Amino acid sequence: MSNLFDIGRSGLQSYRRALAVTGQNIANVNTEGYKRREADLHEVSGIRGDVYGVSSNAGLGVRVNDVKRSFDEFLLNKVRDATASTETSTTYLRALEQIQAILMPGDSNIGTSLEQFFAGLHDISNLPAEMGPRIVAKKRGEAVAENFNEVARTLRSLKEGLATQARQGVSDLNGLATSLANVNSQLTSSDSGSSKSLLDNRDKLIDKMSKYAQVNVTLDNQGRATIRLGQSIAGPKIVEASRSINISMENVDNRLVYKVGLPGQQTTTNQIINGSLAGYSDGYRTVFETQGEIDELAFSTAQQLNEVHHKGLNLDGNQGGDLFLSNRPIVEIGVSNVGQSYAEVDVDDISSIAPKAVTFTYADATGKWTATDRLGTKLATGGATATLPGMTLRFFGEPFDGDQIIIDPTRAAAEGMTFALQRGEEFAAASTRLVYSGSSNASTADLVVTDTTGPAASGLDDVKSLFGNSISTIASTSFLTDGAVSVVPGNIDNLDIVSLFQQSVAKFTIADDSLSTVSSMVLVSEDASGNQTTATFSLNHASFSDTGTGWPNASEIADLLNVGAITGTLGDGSSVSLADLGGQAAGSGGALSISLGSNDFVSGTVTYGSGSTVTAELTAQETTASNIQIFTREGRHIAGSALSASDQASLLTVANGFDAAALYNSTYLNTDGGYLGVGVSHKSTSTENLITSTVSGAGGTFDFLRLGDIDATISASDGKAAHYDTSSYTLTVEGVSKTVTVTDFGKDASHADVAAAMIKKFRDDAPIAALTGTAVSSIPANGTSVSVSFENNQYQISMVDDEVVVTGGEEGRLRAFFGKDKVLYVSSTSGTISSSNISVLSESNLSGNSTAATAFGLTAGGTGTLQTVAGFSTYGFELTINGARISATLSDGSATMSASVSGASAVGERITLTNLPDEELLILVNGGGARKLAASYDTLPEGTPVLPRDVTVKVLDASAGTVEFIDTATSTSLATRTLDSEQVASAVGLNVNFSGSLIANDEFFISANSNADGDARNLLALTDLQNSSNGRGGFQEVFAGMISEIGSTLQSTAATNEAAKQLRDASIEVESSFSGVSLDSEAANLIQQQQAYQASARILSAAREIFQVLLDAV
Amino acid sequence: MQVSNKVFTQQSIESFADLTNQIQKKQEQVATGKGLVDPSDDPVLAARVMVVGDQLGQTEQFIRNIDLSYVKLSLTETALEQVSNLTTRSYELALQAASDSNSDGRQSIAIEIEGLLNNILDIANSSDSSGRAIFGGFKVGEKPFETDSEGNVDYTGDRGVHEVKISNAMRLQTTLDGATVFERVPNSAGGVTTIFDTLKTMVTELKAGNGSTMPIDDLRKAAAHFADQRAWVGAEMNKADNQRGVLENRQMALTENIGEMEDADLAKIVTDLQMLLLNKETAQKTFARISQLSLFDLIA
Repeated sequence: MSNLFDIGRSGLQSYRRALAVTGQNIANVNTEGYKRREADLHEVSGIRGDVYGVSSNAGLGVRVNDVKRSFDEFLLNKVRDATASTETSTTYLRALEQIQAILMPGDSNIGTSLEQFFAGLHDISNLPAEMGPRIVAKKRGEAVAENFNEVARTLRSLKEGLATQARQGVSDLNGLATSLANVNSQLTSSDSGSSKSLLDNRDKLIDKMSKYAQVNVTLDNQGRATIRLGQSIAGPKIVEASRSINISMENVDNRLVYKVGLPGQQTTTNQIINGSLAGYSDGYRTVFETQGEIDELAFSTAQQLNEVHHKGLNLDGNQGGDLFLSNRPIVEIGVSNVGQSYAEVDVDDISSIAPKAVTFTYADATGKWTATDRLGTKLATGGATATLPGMTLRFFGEPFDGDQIIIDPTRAAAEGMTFALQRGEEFAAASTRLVYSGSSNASTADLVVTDTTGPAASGLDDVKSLFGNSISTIASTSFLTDGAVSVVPGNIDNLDIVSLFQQSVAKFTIADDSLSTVSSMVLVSEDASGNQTTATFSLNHASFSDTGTGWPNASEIADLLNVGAITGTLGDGSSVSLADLGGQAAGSGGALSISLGSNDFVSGTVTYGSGSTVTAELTAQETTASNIQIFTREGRHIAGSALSASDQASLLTVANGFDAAALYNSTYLNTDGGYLGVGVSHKSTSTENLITSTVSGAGGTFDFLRLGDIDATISASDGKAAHYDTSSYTLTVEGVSKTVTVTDFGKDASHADVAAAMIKKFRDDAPIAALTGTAVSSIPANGTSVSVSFENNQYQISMVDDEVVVTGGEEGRLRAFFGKDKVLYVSSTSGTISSSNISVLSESNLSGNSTAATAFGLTAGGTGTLQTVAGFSTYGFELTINGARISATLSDGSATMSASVSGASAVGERITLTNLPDEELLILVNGGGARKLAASYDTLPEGTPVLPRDVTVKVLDASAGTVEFIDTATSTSLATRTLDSEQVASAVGLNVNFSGSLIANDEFFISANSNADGDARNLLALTDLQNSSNGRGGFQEVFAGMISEIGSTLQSTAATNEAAKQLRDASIEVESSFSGVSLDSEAANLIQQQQAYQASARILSAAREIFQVLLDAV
Repeated sequence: MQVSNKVFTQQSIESFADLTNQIQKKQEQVATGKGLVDPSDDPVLAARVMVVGDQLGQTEQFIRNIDLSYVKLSLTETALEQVSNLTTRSYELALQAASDSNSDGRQSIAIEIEGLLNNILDIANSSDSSGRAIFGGFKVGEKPFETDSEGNVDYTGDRGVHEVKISNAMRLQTTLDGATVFERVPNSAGGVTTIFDTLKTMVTELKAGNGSTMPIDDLRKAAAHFADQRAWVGAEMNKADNQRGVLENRQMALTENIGEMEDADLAKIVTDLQMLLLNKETAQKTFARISQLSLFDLIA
């Protein structure tokens, strides 16, 4: 009986608990994360019997075994994955929508602003002289720049915004991970009763985490969750037991970098696959790419428009400047570089820089940097420097293998873009060039001109590389053969070039360890008649120094030889110095060179050690100087000597640097100011170089030039060259001939010193003139002055500061003084070749001279005396000197003077060119000889602007098609060409194309445009860029392409997003049908459980009735 | 399958929001009249619309260029017409002078021709409404013809000719330079001379009474030359007219093209919109009804 009671009671209790569970479900119908519970009812089986009875099979009632939580891990994970992937596309979609809105903010965008700008340019082209359209176009240009700026700025702030959102997301995710770790630790210690809501909490937290990033969940038997990033257990853990591991984020330029790990051990992870964090990452990357495209567009827009604009002429008459300014190439160091290296960029030509980022990677194996573009195509390789189109890179520092340096020419081009013109006038609408036919041309032919690159460089060594910029025998350069030897580059303004004779040289090369023991030198030379001289020099070091070290340097030997401290012995035993032999030595280290002024070496030997010898390398004397010829590459002969037809044929060759079409033209040969105004001085002989003489009628002048730098005795500091001064000057007047050499005028003589030495040579043979006064009572007062005449000159003898001073006439010619006897002595400083007397001017010739003469003890009209010189007969001419000029005048009444000069110098020929044009000139030598040249030159400062030259093309022969290119300003013939069958020819950087039949003497002018307000040709070239052609222009199309690209990315992402949402919703539905609360089911459960409860109560009452029946029966 | 009340509510709310978005989009299309609101609606078409729009803009610009050129060409044409008339008149006077041996008559003809020369010079130096010389070549800022102390007329302009684009490949010359018009006048000797020299010689010879050496033939050739120049301007205007026709056709075609691509099909959009509105209303009503339904209502 008690069984039935027990059964009823257990029913009541169980169903009350079941009702409570249902009630809980209903109450939590809207609770987030709540999983439906279910009371798990079990029968209590009564199998237990006792001694009074057998066991009953009826059982003992019911009990609630467990309250089950509806949880399906598989379904739940599906929901989470679907959520994560929906979040990815939703977040990415939002970013894309913003990019689209930035690029296409409405009716005005980069594309439309460019279109407007081009329309503005068209409007200027209609009325190029008017300001209105120019101002409008300027505004529109500014709008283009502003549109680029605005797009770039907003893209950048969008990128920053995405980074901020992602960082917030990371922080939220970290918070969730911490909370989950807490739940895990509670699960460890909780009893099973309270754990149901902990598990709800756990699952809710994981659900939330899935929104930020896709996670992999593993549960242990206590219900604790281990969370990994990504979809597999390969991902990094962010929650494990009661510990959470932080995620962090960095935004580098082109992507978001997520890192995971304990503090200090964080490593980059690529396991943020889905979820909003992945969405931000995608968005960030797309914004970066869009930025790159916008920058590229800005860069190429500016670059291409500028390039054309530069070719034009603005209303101010200036060359067009930049239309748009954008940034210069940016150098970026690779983020993961190990070594320390960097690079600098030199922009050579911004217009040819490709608007693409280039990555240089260093390879240890080769020690070189290799450049690749985004697609990995190899562009360049370089060690210390590398060259890319339009720019040169220089690398510094110590790179490691794999280090990278990125050159981005376009970076920030859009944000930094500005419109460069300040005023409407600055639009370069006009072309710089105007081509037109002469208005009096007989033909109606037309000419079209285009630029060509001009002649390619000759490739010959230029004077800067060949010559030491010094006119000197020891800085000269010798050449082996006739022909072109060098080229004068365009930026040289002045050139002085000489052709030298070659002195005989003996060159010893003594080994360093032998030098100290050099003991003697034997030089054998031969004069022009074949007489040999052998000089033996004892070089025992101990004889000249007591250091005991031996010769340290050949320079000491050379110095001692030159000063005559070392003397040699001739065959007859007489002593001789090197100077006596006419030689000069140079030494340095083990090099010892000896030059002979006039004789030729036969042999040279140096003895060292115990009888070892070094033989000299001999250079023979060459007494012919080569001819120098200066040419333009078109065959215009500027300086030199006229060439014979056969010389022209052999010298005017392409190999010699001439243009293939060069034509010999000697119009400008040696003409000062002839070819393009080039100043030319040509002196073809030694005599011309030393003395300039002009003789006409009964007189002549002779100007003396001392070429101190060239003729002086000198030794090269490298010991490889020396020169002995052999210069001489000879003047012959009326059969009287005098010669002066360095012994007469001295090593450091000036031009005037040479003239003075020369006139002294003449006068030294002649008698000295003297004038002696009578004793005066007192020295004349200061300021008193008497005049005398001598050699047709007047001199004043004056008292200045109580001294007698002679002025007038030839300076230093007369000297005068009062003797102790108060007598005035006047005399010539050297002889008078015309036997002129010093005479006092008479009163009639000079008023007051009589009184003055008396004051000096002289007599007006009085004459002095001449010293007697045996064997001298008075010359029939007078010589006077003024500076470096000696003037000769006949004094014997003859009408024609005979006079000549001759000179000897190291210089055979000298050409001095000034005001050289900006083109290569060729230097040729011919005629054999020494081929020894020296040159000095002035280089124009770097960046000297080259003025475009106006050219006239003149038809020479219409039937043969020959035309001449003439410099319009100077009428200089620059080049001659024969037109091809298409009537085309190229010269001086111009390509000319005629149409129509030509008539001889027709002229076509190619000139710089000026005041051409009505010219809009350059704008027509600019507007050509509106449409793309040959990879240029078409900027709007490029922009449209970008829009289309973003649009389609957006479209496909939206579709992905839609699909992801549906999948997520379906997953949620399935999962919720399992674990969610449906009120209908709960109501049904309620009714069912209520009924069961009531029925259980009936069991109790039945049991009680049965019991009552029993009681009643008792 | 049982449905969780919470999820049902959430999903219903999301679907309402979705419908609202779609309705908004349609509404925007109706408001702007454009089927393409965002490039993502049809990225390929959007790019095409931009490119065609650009072409349309250029076509309109070319038409504008022709309009402005026409003004310039008309000015040149009028000037040449006058010069042509004046030259013809000179020629007639020269013929008259040749047959009239009366020296007084020649003097008066000389004076009249002198006047004609000055008229022609004025026209050669004439300018447009902005004061820019018509015959100065590119040098429009100053008078292109100057008379020196000897009465010789010198051309100080240059020989540039202004051109504008009337298509991407075609250019229209809108001016003639002064040298071509007035200085390169063919003469009877087979060379060229200036109209001013010819007229000046005419006057000199007339005044000197030299009937036989007057350059009458040169004047005849000059008259023909100016007629040729006029014809050239006419031809250029004709070219402009033809091109305008081509451009206008193109403009129309492009406009239609853009319209087809871009304009909204209003009937369709409005129908779609009505359907969406109906959808939304129905969905909301249904939701209200369904969410009211509960078994609990039936539990007494």
